[in-house]
Amino acid sequence: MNQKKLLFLFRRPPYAGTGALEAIEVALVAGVFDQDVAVLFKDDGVYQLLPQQDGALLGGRTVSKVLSALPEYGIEKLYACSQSLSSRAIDPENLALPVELLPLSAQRELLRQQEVVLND
Amino acid sequence: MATLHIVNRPLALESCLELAAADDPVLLIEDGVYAALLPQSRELLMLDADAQVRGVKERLQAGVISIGYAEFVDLAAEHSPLVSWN
Repeated sequence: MNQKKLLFLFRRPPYAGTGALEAIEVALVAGVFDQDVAVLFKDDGVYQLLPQQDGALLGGRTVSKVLSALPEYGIEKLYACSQSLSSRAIDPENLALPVELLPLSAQRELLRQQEVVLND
Repeated sequence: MATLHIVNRPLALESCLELAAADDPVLLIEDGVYAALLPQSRELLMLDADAQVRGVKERLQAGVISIGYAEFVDLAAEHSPLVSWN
């Protein structure tokens, strides 16, 4: 199969409807099909990275746990917007997923390298 | 190839402009056209029909260029990747 460079741009908070979870599942499927997948958490999407979430209290799944499957599906290009984290007082040293922090300039470069960009 | 940024909610424009390169076109569609009511720091494109539907067309700020569906299709064909901001 043709390999494409895919970026998943996640900007939604984790428990506002099922959009965030569904998008993560699409990313996992892309990983299964050996696509060149990267994920960028930006804006309210960085709330997905908070540790100690518990989706069971809402009768659903825990988004941070589902995210932790990304590396197991071969998706290791995981990035977060450093500005989005700091403006939300989220400690980058204590996240649910090992992400590389990118300044805006590096995010711009990341976008430019993609063939397809998908949203949550 | 330059990226085409497509903004369909007004509040998403700020994030879009953080990452849009100076030569990337930024197109307002659907509710994104409301952003054309406010002064903006750069040139923006706007889908004419969506602006007309919402009564925005007569209240545009300077630097907003109205385009039709055919031009939208051309832009989509000429740019890669397409990035949606919603």
